[in-house]
Amino acid sequence: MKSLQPVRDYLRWWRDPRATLLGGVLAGAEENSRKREQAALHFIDEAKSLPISPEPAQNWAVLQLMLGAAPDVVMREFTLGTGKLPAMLLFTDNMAKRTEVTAMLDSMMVRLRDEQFPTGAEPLEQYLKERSITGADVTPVKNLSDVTTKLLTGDVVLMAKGLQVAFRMPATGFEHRTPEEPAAEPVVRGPKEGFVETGAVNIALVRRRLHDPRLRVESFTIGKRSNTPVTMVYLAGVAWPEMVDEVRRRLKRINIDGVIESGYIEELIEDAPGSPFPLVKSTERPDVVAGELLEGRVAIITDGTPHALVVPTTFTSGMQASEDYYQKWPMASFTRMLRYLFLVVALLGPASFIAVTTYHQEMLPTQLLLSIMSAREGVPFPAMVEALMMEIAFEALREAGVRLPKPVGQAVSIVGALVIGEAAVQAGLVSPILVIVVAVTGIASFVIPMFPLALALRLLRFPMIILAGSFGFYGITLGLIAISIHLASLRSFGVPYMAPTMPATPTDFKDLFIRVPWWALVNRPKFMPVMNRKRQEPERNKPAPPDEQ
Amino acid sequence: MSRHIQMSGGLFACMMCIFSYTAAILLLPSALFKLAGQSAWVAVVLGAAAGGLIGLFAVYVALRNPRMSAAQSARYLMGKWLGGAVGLLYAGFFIWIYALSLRQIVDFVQIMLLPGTPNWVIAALMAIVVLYGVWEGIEVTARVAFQALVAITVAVLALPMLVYPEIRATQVEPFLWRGMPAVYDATWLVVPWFGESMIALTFVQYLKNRRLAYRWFLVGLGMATFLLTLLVALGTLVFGPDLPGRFVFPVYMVIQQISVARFIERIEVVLIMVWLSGMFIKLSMCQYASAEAISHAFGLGTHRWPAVVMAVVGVLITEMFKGTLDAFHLTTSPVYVLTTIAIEVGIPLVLLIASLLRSASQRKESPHA
Repeated sequence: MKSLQPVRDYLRWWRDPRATLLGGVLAGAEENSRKREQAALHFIDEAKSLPISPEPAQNWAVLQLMLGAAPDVVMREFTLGTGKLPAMLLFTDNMAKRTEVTAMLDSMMVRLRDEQFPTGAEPLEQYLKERSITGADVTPVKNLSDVTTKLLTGDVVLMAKGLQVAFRMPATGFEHRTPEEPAAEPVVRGPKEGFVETGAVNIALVRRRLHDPRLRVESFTIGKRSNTPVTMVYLAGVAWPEMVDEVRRRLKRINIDGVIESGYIEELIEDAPGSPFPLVKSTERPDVVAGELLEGRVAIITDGTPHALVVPTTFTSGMQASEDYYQKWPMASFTRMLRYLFLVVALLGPASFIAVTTYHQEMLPTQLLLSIMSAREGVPFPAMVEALMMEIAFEALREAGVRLPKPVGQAVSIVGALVIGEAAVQAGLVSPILVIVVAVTGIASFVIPMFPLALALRLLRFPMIILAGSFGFYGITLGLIAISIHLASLRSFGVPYMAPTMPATPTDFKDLFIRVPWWALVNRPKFMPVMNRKRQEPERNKPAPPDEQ
Repeated sequence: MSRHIQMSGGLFACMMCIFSYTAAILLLPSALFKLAGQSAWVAVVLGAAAGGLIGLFAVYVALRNPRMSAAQSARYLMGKWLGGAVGLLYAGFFIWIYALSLRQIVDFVQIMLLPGTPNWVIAALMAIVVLYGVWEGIEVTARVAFQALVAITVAVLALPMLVYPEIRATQVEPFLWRGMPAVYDATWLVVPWFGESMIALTFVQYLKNRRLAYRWFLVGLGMATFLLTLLVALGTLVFGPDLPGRFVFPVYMVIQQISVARFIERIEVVLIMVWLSGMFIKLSMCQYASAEAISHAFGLGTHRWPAVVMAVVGVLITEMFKGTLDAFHLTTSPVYVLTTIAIEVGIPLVLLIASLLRSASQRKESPHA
């Protein structure tokens, strides 16, 4: 095991009461790996107060102890300029871009080797800013905690003998996916670009759509261990400042060890965590984020995931697809109304079938009733049990289709849909009419553009089936009232979730069940608190025949 | 409790509209047809006007005491004991209306939709959903009321078109064929139903713009009168002047006549769903008013736990009725009508007198104020 003598030297140099305590935990750490691990944890806990020693080798020893001698954290020793000032360049392999690191080393070891490097911290910083290739991005770092964080996020750190400060130079450039069409939000007309796992790229994708100096990008680091870069994006002058403050407050309040995906943040900032409905919108599309920002909303981009969050959101926002705004408005309105129709089918399809066939047969014309009854003849289960079985099987098939590798997933879908379905009907376990009902309901749930909203409806379908099987349409009515109460009680960052219908703001009905032409969408939604209500000058935008212009 | 609640005038109007006519749709028309024949609709208009006056009086009294409910102002004006007693009377009256309305639902659902299901199951299920709504607060109920009113209005306005083939203009008698006395008799029955709008004593305090309270109250009551009048008139147009008086639920019988292209028939269950959503609003308002009154009468900090108690009491009272006919005879008896009107006028009147006396004594104490 590596000697810890340089660490002891560091502590001796520090001359702080905490140095004595840390010295104590080093006892026996040289021989015992478990003790060394314990000592490393103590050093990490105290890292914010560990200053940078003027002896780079001591700093490197402490860093190695804290990082557990990580092989991907690389150190290069060299001397700077004609004064032969000993220096050290640290970076994490594959997190820092290799070409950037090479260029830095080349700049300091070759290009500037005949130059006289200044020795003080501030002159050296100024010199690096002026002469080195990284330019103005050189920033001083004053403790070992910051050094560690910068190293692990892909930056390069320079330490020189005699300086109680290190210099961080950005070189983040790990491999990332190129933007491609999001699989979960495809469009026929519209941009085919989606977010990737790199936060910086995602911000650039939004900026590409909003070339506005008022676009504000504010960064946070969330996760005590993951130190995940999270960015809040909004349009100053449009977004309501109190809402921006509220988003900022909720992000700062998060105290968790790691944020691996934006779902963590979503659950930690939403208003009603117990609700099945999505109170924070997640999207992989930069054009959707840009559109939402223009309506005064705030976006949260999390590094490491292509899913950006948008707040506040509403139920109706989940029924709007980005394509609604790219297609001509009559078609967009038609498809939107179709979605609302299928929303009802997705929630109430099987429940209504059960209620009608079990309690209210009089609603059906005689011929249709006879067909249904003859199809159900011989089925040994009540309609409710039959529907529950089918729905659970459908959900299992859907889940299997998502989880399994693509070729196998297709096979499972075919086996599930054709073989099992057909065999179940042949065996008389389920009626063919219910297979149709479940299939139509399944398709209906895929019509809803926001996936988490469709999931919520799929979940609520089960209690509705049970209510319908137990109390017919009376049960369905009570279920619907309960859902309405729940929806009416929800808020997303202060905005009523059911806006603009509950409470009703008729001026916003222009973009609800239908989407009026762009020139008629003069204002931003009234239910959204915004700084600037006006979206456009209608008199300039409304198309008119040439002789009227 | 009431500090953070705010309601727009439109939502207030929605609530008052649904509250005033949803329960009346089922039980009231039969008695009106029996007494006034085809002039039942005139009785609705006159009765609604008289009942509306009681409601307007309640709005006036509510506006005299800023941001206070009936029980709160009673306690403030009359002291702990006397004020508490008025508050309890107010709570008791609305829990009674709650029980009566719940009984209507139970009987109707049991007869028409779920024969064989025990009364208490139907009552308890509705009571639980209502309790959930009241628990979430009156703002939530008001928002659901808007949704329900849209559905109810669409259903009622579509009804004449859906039963158009059954309408026989030739069976209509001349206007006021049975004379005004018959209409007056029927009008008395309508007054207590619309007089229940004195529940405004609870809800006016939540209005964002209290200066428009009268306007929105009249909008709500006007809509309720129009919808009920339309349904009652439709009963005559479909069944003539005499037959509807022999039905227990004439409006339901009208709905049963729906037949579109001989394919869409017997869809009354869908319209019952719409009616149930309206009844939910009425029950929620009654329960909220009574729970809030109890909470203020006893100086409690929340309406939620009193609402649970009120729900249990309401369901127990519901179980005491012997059935729809029992409720029907009760609500059409002169004693019941007069007692109800007396309570509906009496509570705001007592509050007004107490308020006037207090103002007078304050003026006496500080003549320069």
